[in-house]
Amino acid sequence: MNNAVNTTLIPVAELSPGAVAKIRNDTIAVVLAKVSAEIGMPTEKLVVRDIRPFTDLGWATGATIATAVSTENHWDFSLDDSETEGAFTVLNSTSYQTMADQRFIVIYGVKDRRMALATPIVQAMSELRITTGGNVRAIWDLQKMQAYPSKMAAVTNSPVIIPQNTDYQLAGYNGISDDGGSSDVVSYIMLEGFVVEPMGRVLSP
Amino acid sequence: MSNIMLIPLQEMAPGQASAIRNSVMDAVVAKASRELALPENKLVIRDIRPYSDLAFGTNTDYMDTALSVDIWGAWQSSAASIDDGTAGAYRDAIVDGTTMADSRYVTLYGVRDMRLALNTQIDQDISLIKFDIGAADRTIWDLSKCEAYSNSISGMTSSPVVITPLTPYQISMYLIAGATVPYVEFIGFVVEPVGLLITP
Repeated sequence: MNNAVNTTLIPVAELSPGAVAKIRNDTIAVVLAKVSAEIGMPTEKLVVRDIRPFTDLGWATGATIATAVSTENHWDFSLDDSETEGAFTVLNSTSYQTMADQRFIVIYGVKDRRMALATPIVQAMSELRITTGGNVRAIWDLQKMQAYPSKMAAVTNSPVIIPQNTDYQLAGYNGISDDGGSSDVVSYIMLEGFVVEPMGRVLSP
Repeated sequence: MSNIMLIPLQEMAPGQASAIRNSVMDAVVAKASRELALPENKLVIRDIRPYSDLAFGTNTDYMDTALSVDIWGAWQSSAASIDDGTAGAYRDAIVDGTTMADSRYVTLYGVRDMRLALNTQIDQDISLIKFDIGAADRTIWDLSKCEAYSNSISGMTSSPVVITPLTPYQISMYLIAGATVPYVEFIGFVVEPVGLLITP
């Protein structure tokens, strides 16, 4: 095995059986240890929970990329059809670009849910860029999932961690701002990941 | 023996796709490390940007209008169809005279047909794909063999095509009919020094 940093996104359909579970479990173990060391708490005082897209990440609060700025906790939003094709546009507005204190968000994959729609739509976002602390950590090609309509999901062996109090930016590359007609396209992309934070901050399981 | 065949994903043993990916990455990272005189941990493996890294779709021999967007030749609301009236011939997808960027290795080891994700499925207009690297034809893949498996039209090879820094290259698509939208993406990755684009 080589020692290069592998940031590629791998479609779930091209992974060995059990590989997704291994990536998830390994990532959780690594991040729990990191958080425990950084905030001086034993792992049993930490909770690993699902991401709330708006509340935790500010997903779809970017006024340029979304037709209407999101204030709700769901991943769906309409891409503005006046957005420039062939450029990255920021998904989280400047008001949502610093991670909260004592909160670590980990992103290790992407899901495209549009095949679950009654009428599947065209995917407008072709790439996703994740920047933390001023450095581009990953650029993922979202198109690669589309060869597998029954498993439109992909994960990476190099998860992106957004540590507490750190600047971050999520940006979508607009491969097509509309479906060739005049209507806006709804994005059904969601991020695969989790939140690690002290127990009691949001949840007390 | 050089086995350069494309194998449909559905005809592979469980785990074989991962084995091919991992062994190809190991080989290319070792090669890049040696040739760039950089330790492996100073290299990054990342996804390919179709236009920015590969100039895919920039030749009007293949596309109606040359692309300048990072998509695999489709989805853009204009200029996304294959050039008309070109059936029964290879058409070059990369603008003539293109060479790979310095310190960048692009590796291609398979192909995906993405039209299954369309609401209204279209016919595939591409049958064969030819790779000319450094003025030699390295491989010809038959994409048609993957179409027998309608839930995942993709294939891989254990003999990857590696486009090394500053090397001229061309990718040519053999067209069946012409005038349809291409929904083909290559499976592969980029190896380059950390910091050139990404700093993980």
